[in-house]
Amino acid sequence: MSTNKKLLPTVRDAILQSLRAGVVPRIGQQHIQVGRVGEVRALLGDIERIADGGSGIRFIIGEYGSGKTFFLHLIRSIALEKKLITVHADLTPDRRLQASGGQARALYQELMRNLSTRSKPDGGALSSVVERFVTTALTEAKAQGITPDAAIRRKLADLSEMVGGYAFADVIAAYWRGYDSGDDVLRGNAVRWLRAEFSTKTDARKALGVRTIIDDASIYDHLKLFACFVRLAGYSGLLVCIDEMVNLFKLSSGQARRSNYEQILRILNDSLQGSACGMGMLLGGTPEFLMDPRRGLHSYEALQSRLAVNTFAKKGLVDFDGPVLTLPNLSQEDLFVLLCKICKVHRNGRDDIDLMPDDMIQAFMEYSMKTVGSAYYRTPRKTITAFVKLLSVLEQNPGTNWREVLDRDPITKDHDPDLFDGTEDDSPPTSETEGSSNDDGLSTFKL
Amino acid sequence: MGLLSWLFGSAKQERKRTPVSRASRRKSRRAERTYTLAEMESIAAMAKNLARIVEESVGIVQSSRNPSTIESRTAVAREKFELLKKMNRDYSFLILESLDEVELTLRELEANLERGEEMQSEEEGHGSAFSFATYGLGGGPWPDGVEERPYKSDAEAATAGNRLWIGPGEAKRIGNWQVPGGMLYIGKNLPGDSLYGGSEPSLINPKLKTRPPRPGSDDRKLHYWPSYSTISPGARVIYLDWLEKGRSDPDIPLGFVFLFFYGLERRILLDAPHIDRAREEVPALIAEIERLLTIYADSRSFRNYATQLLTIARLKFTTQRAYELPAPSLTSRCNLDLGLLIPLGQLIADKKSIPASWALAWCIADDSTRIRTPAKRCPDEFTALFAAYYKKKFADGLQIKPNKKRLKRRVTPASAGLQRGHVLEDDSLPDVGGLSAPVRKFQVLFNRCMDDLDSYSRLLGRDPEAAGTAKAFSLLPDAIATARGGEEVDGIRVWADEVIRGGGVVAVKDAMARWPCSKPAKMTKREAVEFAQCLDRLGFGMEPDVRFAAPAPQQPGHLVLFRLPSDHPDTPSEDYVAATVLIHLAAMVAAADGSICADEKRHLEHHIEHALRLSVAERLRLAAHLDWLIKDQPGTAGLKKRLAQVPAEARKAMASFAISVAGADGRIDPAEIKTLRNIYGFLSLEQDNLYADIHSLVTQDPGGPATAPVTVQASGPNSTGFKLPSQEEPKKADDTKPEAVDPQAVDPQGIVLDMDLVKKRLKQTREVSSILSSIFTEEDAGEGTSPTTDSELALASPDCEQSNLIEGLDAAHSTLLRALALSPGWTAEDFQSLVEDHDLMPSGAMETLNEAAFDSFGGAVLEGDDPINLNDEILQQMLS
Repeated sequence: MSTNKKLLPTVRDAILQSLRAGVVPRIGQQHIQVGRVGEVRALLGDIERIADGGSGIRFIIGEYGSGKTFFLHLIRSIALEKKLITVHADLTPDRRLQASGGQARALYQELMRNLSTRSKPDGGALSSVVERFVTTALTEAKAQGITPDAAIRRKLADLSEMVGGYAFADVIAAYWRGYDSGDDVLRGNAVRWLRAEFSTKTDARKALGVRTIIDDASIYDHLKLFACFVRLAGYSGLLVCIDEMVNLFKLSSGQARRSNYEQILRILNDSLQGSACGMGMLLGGTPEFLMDPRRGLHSYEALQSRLAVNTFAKKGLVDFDGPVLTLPNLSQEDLFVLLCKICKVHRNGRDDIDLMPDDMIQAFMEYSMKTVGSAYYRTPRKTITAFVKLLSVLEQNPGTNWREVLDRDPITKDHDPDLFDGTEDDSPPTSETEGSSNDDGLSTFKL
Repeated sequence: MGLLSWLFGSAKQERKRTPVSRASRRKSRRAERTYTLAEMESIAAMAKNLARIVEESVGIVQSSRNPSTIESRTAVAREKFELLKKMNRDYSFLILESLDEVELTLRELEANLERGEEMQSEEEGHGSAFSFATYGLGGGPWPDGVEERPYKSDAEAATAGNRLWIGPGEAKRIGNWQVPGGMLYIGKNLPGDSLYGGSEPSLINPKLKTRPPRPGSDDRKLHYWPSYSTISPGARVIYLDWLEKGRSDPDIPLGFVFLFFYGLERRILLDAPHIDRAREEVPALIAEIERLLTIYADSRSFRNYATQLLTIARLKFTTQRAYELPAPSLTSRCNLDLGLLIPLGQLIADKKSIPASWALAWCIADDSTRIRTPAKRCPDEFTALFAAYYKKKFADGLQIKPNKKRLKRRVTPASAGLQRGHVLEDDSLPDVGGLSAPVRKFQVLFNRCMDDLDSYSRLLGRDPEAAGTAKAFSLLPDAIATARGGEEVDGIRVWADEVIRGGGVVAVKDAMARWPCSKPAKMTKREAVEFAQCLDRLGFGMEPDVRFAAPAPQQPGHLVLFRLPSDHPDTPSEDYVAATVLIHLAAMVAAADGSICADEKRHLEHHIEHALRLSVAERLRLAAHLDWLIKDQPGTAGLKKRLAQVPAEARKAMASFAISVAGADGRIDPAEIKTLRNIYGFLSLEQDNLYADIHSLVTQDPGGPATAPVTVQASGPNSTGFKLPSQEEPKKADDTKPEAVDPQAVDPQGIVLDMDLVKKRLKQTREVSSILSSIFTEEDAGEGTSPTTDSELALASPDCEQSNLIEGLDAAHSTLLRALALSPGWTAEDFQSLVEDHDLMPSGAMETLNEAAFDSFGGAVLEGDDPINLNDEILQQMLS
């Protein structure tokens, strides 16, 4: 966006509120993106390739607080803008790529729940996508004078070649039947099937007459299938974003880790060989997830050579072409620029008031560094929340000297608690950064 | 014989080995305390004093005829002698010679006293005139003795002696003995020129009884001051036998040698100044004394007296300067009296500098010099070493300014027949006896020599055959080593030359073939040091070198030889040790992936050359060390110890360097990561930080990824120097590796922003913004729709009238949108029925409509789920 242009108030508020709450904004990330031109370009290339029917996989590797999640969300919104469907989820102990106790299915469910389109960027767009497909099929059927069911089957003929493709076509057809006959139960069952909510084949057969379900073993196949499906529905492709890959590293069972890594290898091979059409994967993780020779990806030999850290020391350009993309941590300068941009978003074109001159931003950073301590260097989350809060205090109390506000003792002056509760407590930030999932973490800001 | 000579032993072991007396042997077994030098000196002075009193008293008793004098003097002698014995027992460092002989003499005197006999054994004429005995240069006053001098003047004494003297070379028959060589007083009566009368002890009276010595008798034992007239008939036979056989039997008890020596002494001291013939004989006498010295030099007592006499003889009767003669060597140590005072005084008087040999003699004669084993065990090497150091320190020699005090010494002859105050006085000679400054200077060198020879001496102590071997060579101090190599050493030199020509790497086995080692598998630490020293001496260095914090070579392994520059250190500097650890760790990392590739090696070598603060010699050594590390890939033994000396921040820097090495070949292999983990353990760093550190090094890039890729060189000075660049670029350290900064260490002054960097970031941000805005705002409507959608829609509505269609929508959806436009908001239910009326599906319709709105106008037309509102702005744009 041109920097002079006014933002929609909704976008501005969404950004500021997310930041204030310490989470990554769902929209408008582009307004506060700082630097990382190379990375953005590389991913943009990926997305365009996916839109052209190609495939791609990227491991986004960065420290806690280096901005992985923010970056993933930025890429996701770019993808949406490029007419891709996106699904995203964090891995958790209960959600894995490969499992036998339903954890993989849980991941698939989560992914489908978060299925987003440009007009529904917050998820829940599964039925929109299905109906849009069915609508086009109906239009076709009308034009060609065949039954809608036949039109659907014909359109999905390509899919039946793929694993689970036949059942998938059945389910889409069932959705149409349910809609056509007003049978909401049938339609609901179809959606449930698509969300992998059937846990047994018997149930699925009873409800929909299909012999297969989406289970732990087939989620990746169904993702591929779904990627083809969204292209048939008129979208450019599917982008799968999976964050917190470190949960695989944390698996205590070596067998479980290994099978997950095998799955990653399969995805990697498919993507690199281009056999997953129109589908891209973004996997966010920490360096130890990648490099640890005992439990990380590198513990799996076949992945070692494919994912060896190779981005430096070749006396040419930094390598943005490999599957591993490393995100550096936020530097002081980056943070400074970021705060400037937040200021600008907050001002939103009103040039008359400049709540935060540059030197104050610097003073604020120093203050924050002293107050937050070591977490300051790990993640800018606390600094940013405090900053946004300070901005709003200044806005609501015109004439307040920002220095006075900063100099106020945060502990004794509790009449202004808003301002400081972000910076006061040292221990929560650290534990939060390390313990909680980074799903929504502002820690994901980065160049 | 002579005085109770004394000395202080300096070291315990030395004392134990010196065969002195039973008393001293006994005492050496006792537990002893140690004494300071000052204490030992004062005790020695006391003993010296006591010994003098005993000696004088015995002399008085033996030559006196006054019973009361004899009695009182005997008592005094006994009392003091007992004290001396006690001291000898109590102070182990004190070594008194001849105690047994004195004891014997004393007992005899006491026995005589009891028998009421007079000591006088022979009737001897005694001179009535009391005069000052002066010898040559002035004379001392005749002490207040009770007795009178037997001669009126020196001349009379000389004449008396001359009559009975058999000149050198004259054979003489004495009883049954045909005595060659002369130089004897033979006759019936010749009074000694002693304070207290008595006969000349060396005078051979052929009339006296002789009898072959009986086995088991005491005939071989002589009293302290023997006299031919008083020794037993058996002893006379032994003496005459010795004379007959050419005075050269080395096994003869020293008393007999002294007996002969007394005659020479009298001839030189008494006769020569007055008798021309005697003066002419002096060179022959000197020659005889020198001859005796070669045979009987083992006795310190004899050596002292003989040397003293020689020096006096030369001084008075020859023009030869005493210092032109060879100085006494280590093995012929003398007291600091005339034998040394004269040559040294002459040197100073002649304004000559002191040559090394005389300096050494002076030094070892000084009482305060302690001579330890190295000097004794290897005197040759020691003398050479001393000379070398002396030359280095004083060039041609130390020149000493003459002191004011003139040489004036009481001469104490060995002979009891000459016991009186001879004084040697020479105004032309300074008295160096009181000078301590020069001796102190020499002692510094002396002690250094002993220290430097210590290990060599120990080797010879263990293995007397080792002299001349390469091993001995390696232990010699540098100063004298070059001249003392042997065949073995030459062999090693040639071998090392060849090895270096062939690249410098050689198997340990090969080296051990040239260097005998106690164990076949590895050199012991000591052997390795010696080998390294040997090579060092030949101008080669080797790695691993235990002296430089490396392990000893072992099989199967390799050595790397290299040429040492001329000025190389013998001990590693702190920086060097740290550097070896660094290189070791780095080499481990580099080797972790199975091989050390050229890139990695170059990186390491480059680092050695440029990044470490080492001297040229250290760099050479480190490079060799690296070669060895690469060749042998040793484990981590000993690293931990070396690491203990390395401060924490340097360890951090080491870790960074190790990571940079791992990545020098362009990729960090998982095996390398494994090794790095181990290294983090070694460095006592948190292993979990490894990934963060690798990551930060990988991404470390202050200039932005696209414009300034990280090169290893660039990271070098920043991350691997041992002195962290805290002054020059504190912010850089903060910026590039924020997680590496210890929060406690953060500069409380706050943040210094690099405005250039900020500008760069702003530029990049503008760049990314422009990329993003081109994505997010597709203002130039219609064209932005994807080809897929277009074709689908075109396919879907081939027969619809173009004019009724809303841009991006087919007929059904166009109609639906128009219908929806009638109301600003719809409930979900109404919306659904409306959509169904148009044969469409609600979610799908909404998606399609919004999709079209986004494509064309950048926003959704339908907002919300229930109720569903229409975005008026976009709706109007769409409808138009």
